[in-house]
Parts: sequence; C-alpha cells; structure tokens
Amino acid sequence: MLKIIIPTIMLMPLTWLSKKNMIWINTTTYSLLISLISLSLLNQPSNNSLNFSLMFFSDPLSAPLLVLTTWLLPLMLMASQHHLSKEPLIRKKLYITMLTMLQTFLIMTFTATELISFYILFEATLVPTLIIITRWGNQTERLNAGLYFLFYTLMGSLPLLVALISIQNLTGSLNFLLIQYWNQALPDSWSNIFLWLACMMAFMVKMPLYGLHLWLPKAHVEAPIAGSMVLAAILLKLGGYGMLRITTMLNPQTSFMAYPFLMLSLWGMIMTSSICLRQTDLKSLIAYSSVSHMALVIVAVLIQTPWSYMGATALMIAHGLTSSMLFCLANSNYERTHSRTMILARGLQTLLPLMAAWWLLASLTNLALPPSINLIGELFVVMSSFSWSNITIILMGANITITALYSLYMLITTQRGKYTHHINNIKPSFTRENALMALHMTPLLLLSLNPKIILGFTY
Amino acid sequence: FQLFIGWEGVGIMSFLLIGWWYGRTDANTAALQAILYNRIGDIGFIMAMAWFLFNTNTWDLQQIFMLDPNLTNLPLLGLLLAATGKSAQFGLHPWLPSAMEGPTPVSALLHSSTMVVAGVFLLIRFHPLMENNKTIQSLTLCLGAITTLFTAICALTQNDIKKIIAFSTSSQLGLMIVTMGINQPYLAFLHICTHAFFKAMLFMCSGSIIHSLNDEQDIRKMGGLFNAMPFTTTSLIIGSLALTGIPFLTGFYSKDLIIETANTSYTNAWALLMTLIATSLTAVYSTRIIFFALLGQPRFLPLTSINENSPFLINSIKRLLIGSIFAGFFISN
Repeated sequence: MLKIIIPTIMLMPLTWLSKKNMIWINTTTYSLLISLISLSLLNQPSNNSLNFSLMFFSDPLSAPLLVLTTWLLPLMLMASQHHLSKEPLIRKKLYITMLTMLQTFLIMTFTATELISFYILFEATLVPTLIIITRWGNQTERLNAGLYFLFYTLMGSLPLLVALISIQNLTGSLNFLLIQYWNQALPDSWSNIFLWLACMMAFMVKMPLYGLHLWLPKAHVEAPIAGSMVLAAILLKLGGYGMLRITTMLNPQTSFMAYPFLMLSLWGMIMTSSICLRQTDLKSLIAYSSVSHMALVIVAVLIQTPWSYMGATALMIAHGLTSSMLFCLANSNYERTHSRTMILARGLQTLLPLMAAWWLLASLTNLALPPSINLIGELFVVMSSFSWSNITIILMGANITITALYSLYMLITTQRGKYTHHINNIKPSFTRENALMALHMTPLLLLSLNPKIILGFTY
Repeated sequence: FQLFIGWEGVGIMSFLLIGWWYGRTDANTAALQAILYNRIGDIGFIMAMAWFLFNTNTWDLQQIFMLDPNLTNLPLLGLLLAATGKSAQFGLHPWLPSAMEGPTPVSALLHSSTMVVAGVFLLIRFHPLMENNKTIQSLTLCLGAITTLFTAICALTQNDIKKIIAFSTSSQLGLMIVTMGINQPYLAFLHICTHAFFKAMLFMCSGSIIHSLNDEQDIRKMGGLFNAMPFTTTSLIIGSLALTGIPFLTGFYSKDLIIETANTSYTNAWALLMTLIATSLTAVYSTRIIFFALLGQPRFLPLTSINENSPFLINSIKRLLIGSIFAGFFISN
C-alpha cells in the first residue's frame, strides 16, 4: 500500500518543484501512473482481504473504490486546467497540492484497517475539500456552502467518535480483520440503540440521506470542477463504504432501527428525482440526481442481503464515474457561457456534435441503460428490496421512471432544439475535454463487460 | 436479463430516432413522451423479473417453465404492464401517435412492425405461464378489446395520414393481445409476421405520398393521386385490403383465423363484440384513407413535382407488396 501512498505524497514536491509550463503535464502523468499501480490490487484471489501491513489492507469492497479514487485524480487535474489558467503560479500549485492532499487522505481512508484511523482520515478529508470549495469556488454563496458542508458533516461524525471509542473499550480492538471473528450480537438496550444511531449518523449525513442532504446541492454547485468531481464521485462513497463496513458489527439492532431510514431513503429518492425535473440550474440537477442514487445505496445497505451489497458497490462505482462525467460536461458548458442556467446553452447538438455524443452516453448511463453497470447496481438493489418487501417495487419503479425522465430532459434541454442566437461565439471542444469524457466513459463501458470486479465481497 | 437489455435498448433507440429532427420541438417532446410510457411499462418488467428471481431463483425461461410456479398473478401482471407500455395498449397508448414525428422509415420499422410487437412478443414467450392463469387471460382479452375498439374509433376522426396508420397499428396490436387472451400464442405470432408486411408498406407508401407532396400530411389536402402516382396507389390499396383481411391476401390468413377462433371459443362475449366492431372499423378507416388520398379531385397546390422516381423507395415498396400478397400463403403452408 505504501507503493501507492508514498508516490501520492511525493506528487506534492513534484508540483512545487516543476517548471511553470510543466506542472500540469507532470502531475497528470504521474497520477495516471499511480492509478495503474492501484489496478493491480483488483486481482483478489480469495474472498479474504489482502493484507499489506498492520495498518492497511484491501479487499474486494475497497479495491474498486481505491481504483476509482486514483483514476479520478488525473481526470480532476485535466478538468481544472482551464479555470486555473489565469491564476498566478503559486495558486495553481496550491490547488494541485490541495487535490493531492485530499487524494492521499482518501487512499488511506479506503485502505485503513483500524476504525479509529478510518475516522481520523475521514475527518481529514474534509479540510482540503473545504479549502477547495471556499477558495476556488465561483460564486459568493461558496462561503455558505462551505459552512453547511463542514458543519453538517462534523455534527454527524462526532457521535461516531464517541461510539468508536466505546466499542474499543468493549471489544478491545477496532481492527476490521479481528472484528469479523469477535462479532457478537448487541443486546437490546437503550444505550445500544444510541450506539447504532451514533455509528450510522455520520455516514447518513455523508451519503446523504434525504432529510440531511441540504449541504449537497450547495457544496456541489459552488465547488470548482475538480471539487465537484471528487465530491460526487468519492466523498459520497466514503459514506457508503463506512456504512458497509460498520453494519457488520451492528446486528441485530439493524432489523428494527433501519425502518425510519429506509422510509426516508425510499421517499427521498422520489422527492429528489422529482426536484430534478424542475431545476433550472444544471449542476444542481446533477447534485440532486446524486442524492437520488445514493438513496438507493442506503436502501441497499440497510437491507443487508448479499445481493443488495453487490448492488450497492456496483452502483457506487457506476455512479461515481457517471456523476463525475456529468459534472465535467456541465463544466464545459459553464466555461463557455459562464452561467449554470440550462436554457442559456441549448441546441448544442448542432454546434458541438461530439460533445453531444458524450452528453448522450452520460445521460444514458445515468438512467441505467442495460447493460451498463449502473443498471446492474440498480437492478440488484431493486431485486433485493422486492424480496424485503413487495411494495417497495412501486416506489423503486417510480424512481426509475423519473430518473429516465430527468436525464433525458437534461439531454434535450442542452442538446436539442434550436440553438440560441447568442451562442455563435463559443469555442469548439478542446481535445482535453474530449479526452476527459473518453477517460470517464471507457472504464464504465469496459466494466459492463466484466462487472464481477466491482460487485464487492458477496459475489 | 438479455431480454431486458434488448427491451431497454429499443426504447432508447426509439427515443433517438423519433427525435431525429432534433431542431423541432415537437419531435423532442414526442421522444420524451415515448420514453416515459415505455419506462412505466418497464416497471412492470422489472417487477416480473424480481418476482421470478425471488420465487423461481432464475431468470432463465426454460427453468421457469419447468418449475411451473403457482400463483403467477403478480409477475404476469407485471409482464402485461410491460406489454401495455411497449405495445401502446389502452392506458399507455398516447406515445404511439406522437411518435409519428419521426421520419417515415422510422415509423415503418419501429412503430409498425418490430418494436411495438415487442410487447406482444413478451407475452408470447411467457405463454406457458399464461395458459394456466384464467384471470390474466381475461385481463389481456379485455385490455386488447378496449384498445382495438378505442384506437379504431380514434383512427376514424384523424386527419393526418401517419396518425391514422399509427392508430391502426395500435388497433392491430390490440387484436394481437386479444389473441393472446384467447390462449392462441401461435396465431398472435402469425399475425405479427403478416401485419409487419402490410403495415410497413402502408407507412412507406404514405411516406412516398408525403414526400412528393412536399411534406403535406393532412389527407384533407390530398386527393386525385390515383393517376399521378400509380404504383403508390396500387400498393396503398393492396395494403389496405390486406389490413382488412380480404380473402387470400396476407391479412386473411392471420386475421380471419383469429376472428374464427375467437368466435368459436368459450370467451368473454363483450370482448368478442368489441373486437368484431373494431375489425369492421378497420375497413372503414382504410377506405377513408383511400378515398381522401387517392380519389376525387386534387386538393393540393398545383406546383408540386409528383414523382415516383426514387428507385430505393420503389424497390422497397415493391418487395413489401409481394410480401403482402404472398406471405400469408407461404407462412401457413
């Protein structure tokens, strides 16, 4: 694991010592190489975890997320080149340093063995993200967004600290590997109910759950492109990953404690999808669609069946790639019209057909077209929720319909129809942008051929 | 699962093709409408898949039929919903007339012959399960009967030639669903094959007419094409005759068999009555097309260059014509 962490840390001196015209090239190339190293982790020979040291390990659940994280760093760097082009050199280097720091913390989080170290790094990821949002965001609301982001997450995760410490006292260790074997059912008492709540709330806020999701649209919309990408793709998945890890310890309370959260997720899915239909702001639409997809993951994790865990992990990876791609597309619109309103940049298919093709692919995977991994994730979640209770299929079905509607609505509004008369001076698509989209789409399409890799540890 | 991939795939292709002329707002809204209704049907499909997975542990058709589960109400209801969405049955039907915003060959391919029969095809594939379930059979019967009557009545009052043919497609689909309802999957499949020939030909003929009249689609503004476009006229008349089931053309072999079977089987008398009325209405609206588009004095602007010179168009109509006349004979013998 050090093979990945040390090069990532070394990316920081790389940026500070590079020459002015080489910073982007250097960092992007080396981060791509690092992602290639992480691909070797995907070769998991057995269902047990691959242990690297006392502190770091990787198993079929965290390996795909790790690969996603390392894959996204070069993409983030590529996407940020344009909006940082006018900044002074020091600030560019600072930005890249922030991204790299975030990346290091994320890698360590996904491979942490001990729950306390997981927690520390979980909190640590907040700091660079906050700096990225508030310093390099584009509108004045970014300060408000940063506030919401920070305090929502902190409020949720402080109880988690208390809970982890108490579990450490009870069982003597918080090491993942050992907990599998020492697991005992929690007796039914008030304090254990609070323990359950304390453990879960941090991840519920991070996911986010429908009632606690207010930070998400603000943070996603105000963040610069790399911030949005990493937020949507990875940070939300931290919540999912944490939930998947921690539910193994929390039985049997989950069977009755999960009900309110399940109801909130199921209802929230439909509510946020419906909000998407009426949005005028493109990034906001994608942000709410993220909430909707993550609600599916919450439902899957709380049901706790093997199929649902498979669906949750597949959906996390698929959604990471799709949302990140959609944000890149929205950013390409933003860079040209400097506004996020959808109707200001419509009829793009006439002018930028290749970009329209990427829009089409992104929208199709967003609405979970077979045989993409988005579908596999959603299908597994729907199947398992049907087995949990037959009636949920109605809500899931409604969500699928509305998701299809707003994805295609987004496509139609930005691509189809007559173009506006003030659009004739936009720059054509850069190769960099096309490469970005292709790099997002290629893993998504390749994974459709062999989804086994991302199906997690219950395959 | 593979069925589902194809199922969704045709839905999306339908979206893309209906919205082919994407500069036109109507086309875009029609495409979105198609996806909406299709998706609602897909919920039914997914529900059926979930039930099958949960109760028979498989998505494989052979295994499902071998296991022959009882109480198949829920999945068959789901499949019926899927067929309703995809095949534009009553309740989820408005997308089919709106889909006429697409180019005519698209309509000829997707929305007359191949895609819309996907719903019926689904029911045919699952017919071993439907044989044992009387409730679902009655439901399909009534649904098909309502559809065919309702859309046939709608077709009577339309003025756009493509919409008339679209409603006629919907009506024929209802007929196919009725056939499923009386437990005759093979006849339904036969009707799918034969109907494909003459419906596609009708669409291509109407495309030829529309194109040569400079994109005029309203039949009140056509007329007198009998002499000006002889080949198209011939094929249109033969297509309409085949549609109504004139003996010994293609439609006869399937449609007449369906009506006969329906009459002689122990079935819902009201549904039967609906179907018979709808069948007679097919003759009415087909004659309406012929009367308005072909006969009488020309009602269009005089300066259009009416020609049938494009060999692609003529060749394709020619082949469909031969099929319309002979296919029924060949398939049944």
